[in-house]
Amino acid sequence: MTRNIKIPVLIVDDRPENLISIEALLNDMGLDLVRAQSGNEALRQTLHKDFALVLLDVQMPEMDGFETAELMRKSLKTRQLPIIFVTAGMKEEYHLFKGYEAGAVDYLMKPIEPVVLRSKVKVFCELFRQRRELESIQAKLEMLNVELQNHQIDLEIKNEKLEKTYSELKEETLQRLEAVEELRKNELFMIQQNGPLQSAIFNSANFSSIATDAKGVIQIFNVGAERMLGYTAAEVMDKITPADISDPLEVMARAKALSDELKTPITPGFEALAFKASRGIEDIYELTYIRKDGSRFPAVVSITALRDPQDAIIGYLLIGTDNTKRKQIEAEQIQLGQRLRDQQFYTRSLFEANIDASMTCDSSGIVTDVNKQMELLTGCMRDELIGAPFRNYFTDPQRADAGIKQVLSEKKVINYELTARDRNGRETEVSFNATTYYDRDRRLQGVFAAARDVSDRKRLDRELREKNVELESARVVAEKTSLTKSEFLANMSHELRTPLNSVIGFSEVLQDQMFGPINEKQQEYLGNILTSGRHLLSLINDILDLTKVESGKMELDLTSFALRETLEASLTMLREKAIKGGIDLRLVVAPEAELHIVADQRKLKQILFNLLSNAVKFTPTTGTVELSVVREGDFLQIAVADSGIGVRESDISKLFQAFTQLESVYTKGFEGTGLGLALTRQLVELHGGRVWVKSEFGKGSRFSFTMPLGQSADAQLITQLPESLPGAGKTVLVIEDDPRTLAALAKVLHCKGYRALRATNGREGVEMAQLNSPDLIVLDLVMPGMNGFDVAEQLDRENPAAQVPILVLTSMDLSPTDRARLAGKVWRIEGKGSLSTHEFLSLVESVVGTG
Amino acid sequence: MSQKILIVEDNDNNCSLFRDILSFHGYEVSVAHEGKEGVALAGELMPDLILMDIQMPGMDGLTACGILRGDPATSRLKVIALTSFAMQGDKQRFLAAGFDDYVPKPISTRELPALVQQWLENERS
Repeated sequence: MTRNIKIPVLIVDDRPENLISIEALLNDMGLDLVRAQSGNEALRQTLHKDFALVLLDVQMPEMDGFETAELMRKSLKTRQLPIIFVTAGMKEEYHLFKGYEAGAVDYLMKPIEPVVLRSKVKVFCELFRQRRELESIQAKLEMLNVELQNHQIDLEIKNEKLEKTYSELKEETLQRLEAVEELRKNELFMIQQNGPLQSAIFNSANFSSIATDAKGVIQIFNVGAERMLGYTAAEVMDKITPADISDPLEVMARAKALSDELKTPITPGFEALAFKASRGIEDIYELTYIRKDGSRFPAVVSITALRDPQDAIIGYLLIGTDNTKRKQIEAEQIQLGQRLRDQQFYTRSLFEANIDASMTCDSSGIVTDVNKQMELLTGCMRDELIGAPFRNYFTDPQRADAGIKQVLSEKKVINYELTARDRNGRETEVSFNATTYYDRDRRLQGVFAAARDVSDRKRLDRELREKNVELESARVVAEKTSLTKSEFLANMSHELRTPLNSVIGFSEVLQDQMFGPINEKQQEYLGNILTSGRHLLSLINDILDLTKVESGKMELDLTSFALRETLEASLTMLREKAIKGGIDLRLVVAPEAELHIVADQRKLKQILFNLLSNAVKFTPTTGTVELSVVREGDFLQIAVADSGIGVRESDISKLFQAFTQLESVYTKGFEGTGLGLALTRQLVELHGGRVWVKSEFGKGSRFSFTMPLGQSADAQLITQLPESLPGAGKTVLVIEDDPRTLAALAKVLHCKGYRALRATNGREGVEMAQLNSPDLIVLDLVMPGMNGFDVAEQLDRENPAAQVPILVLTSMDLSPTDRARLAGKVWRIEGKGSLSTHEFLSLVESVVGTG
Repeated sequence: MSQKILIVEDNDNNCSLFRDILSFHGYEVSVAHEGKEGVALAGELMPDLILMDIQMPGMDGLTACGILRGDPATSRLKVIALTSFAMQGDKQRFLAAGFDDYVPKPISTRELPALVQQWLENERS
């Protein structure tokens, strides 16, 4: 600090030019240069400031430099002030010495050497500065000293105070301890003295109070102790210590533990139990008491030392409770804990065992638990999944979220489909079933969801859909093809028939002699042409029809019409031919067949014509052809029976095939296309009926076919080949008075191809049996008028040779007498209720035989 | 005055046949060999009966009939369809197309005159 202060230097000279020149020389030294032009002024200046140096001119008017210096020296303030005389010259040495005497420290001769001046000034300034510093330091030291002294005084005061407090505290503590001791003594005293309290405590049965003397011998044994331990007070008092009724091993262990802890041997025995108490340490421990009967129980004992007013131990007080219950509870808890763990393990295993990927999440969709399968599905570890949002693992996170929301609102969601994506990008289609689940207080815990891998199902679905698409296109193609077929047929028809127009047409016109007469020969030839032409036309028509039916292009023109008319019309068509051949043509229509039928009239005519013309064709002179109709439930059965040449068994199967006319085998020259029967079969079957033949070679044939009475849209009846049905060509006569049973049996038989004839009473049954020669008779027993027994007897009597097997179906419980009546006349007896349809048909088939 | 019959038929033989028979029976017969010609001729002649073949190249019988029916001038003419087909549903089709009747080919030459007479006698339905 002192360095920065400008050091004051006093320059004294009466001539201003000298002052200026000196100042100039000292200007750059950072000095505080003060001027004085006289001794007096100089002195005045010194009063105001402490100067480092005075540059004093000697030659000054009034007061010269010497005088000024002397005066300075006189004043205390300026006594030490360094003075450098500045003089022009020394007249004599006298002046020099005077100067020194006056207290100058140096002389400077004018003209002043700048270097000299500066260096001298510098020295004194430095001196001044150093002096100033020293003075400052000194001042500081003095201050510090004072402070130190003050501190010391403070400390001494504080010390005194502390000492005082300490002694006061000590005093207090001692007082306190005394008070406590006093209190305790009072307490013990009180307890000892307080009768009712003592009594109450001691008589408490819930805990044992055992008081001992200082050595531990039992002095007091309360009711509770007696109860707990099974000893009476008398048995133990003054005899044993509590150690004797405790588990000895425990006592030993306790003693050892104490010994180790305190590094001093403790005898196993009462001492071990009472050690801590004896030291005034409140002690509570668990041990096992042994009862008088040797049984044990866990106890919790609190032991305190009893002291007299003088503080000596007079005994111990042991208060114990039976800890059995607690222990039990503890054991149970452990067990429960174990069970809980088992349960948890079980639950966990179930959860893990689930084949479906299962998971739980909270209501914001954060996963809280997953099973192994879920890990596999998502390709992530359990740790990664738990805490992560459910939606992250699916290709459509929004849908996943929506699913969670749905479960939360509807409590249950089934078959919610999502696509899971694992971390490798592999996708699996899954179907979720999810529910919400709750804790015991019915608080929502979250959502439980199980995902089933439906990739296979979906794949199959897709394949199915693809297949359907394929099928659809196939269908379209088929339709197109069908259309092509139609066009083809249409074209064929036209092309084939057109030339025949000409052949037949022109021939007819010529034959009619429209344009002029013709001779016999021409007639003959024309006749031939016509015959051939017509034959050809017939062939073409048949082929086209057959083709139409076989390619499914034939449609039925269904109308409702009276059957009788059609039948008669058909007969009329052949009457001429029949008469020519001497054949008796007959129509037999059962009364119930006087009906309207819904069918394609033209086709029915075709069928009838075909069968009738065949019959007439193959029947020799004086034969008969009979057209008959009966009703069979919802069907009409029409038959054309002839007494013609018949057909061999072996040829029957060929009959309905196209082009195998059997004329080459039987007779020559029959006209016919060989297509008739094939077409007939197709037309019959198109209506939903069946056609079959029964024939005996040389005797005759019976061609039968069924036609449904009414065609209903959904009554797509059997189009099975008649030959393949077991009943083909077989006739079964059912004699049954109950109309329902009769209808049921007939229907069942009809379905299997049998011709089922019906009779509603015994008499009718017998008649029909004789008329129709059935292959089997199904006979009811209980019928009004002529019953089943009678029927069997009559049939047996009348025609034993033509033994038609009889299957008796009855609801009667037959006595041995009954059975005897039937024996030998009937083939088999069955109960109506005991036969299933299947069994019935099997029986029928077995007796009727095939082929 | 004899009644006019127009035969529209592409097959020459058939044409000759029908014309000969019907002429023989006293009708005035005209012939067209295909639909368009038939329609034009029908408009010109206004015949009492038109026998129209169905299967013809170019305009077929159905179309021709439709045109005749559509034209008020010719809509009241009697038109009979001749067809080689006997397909089910054809009858309905022909009647729906405006034909008064149809007859399958080959037509019996012996029946034809009677049919024609019948058709001429029948009022248009």
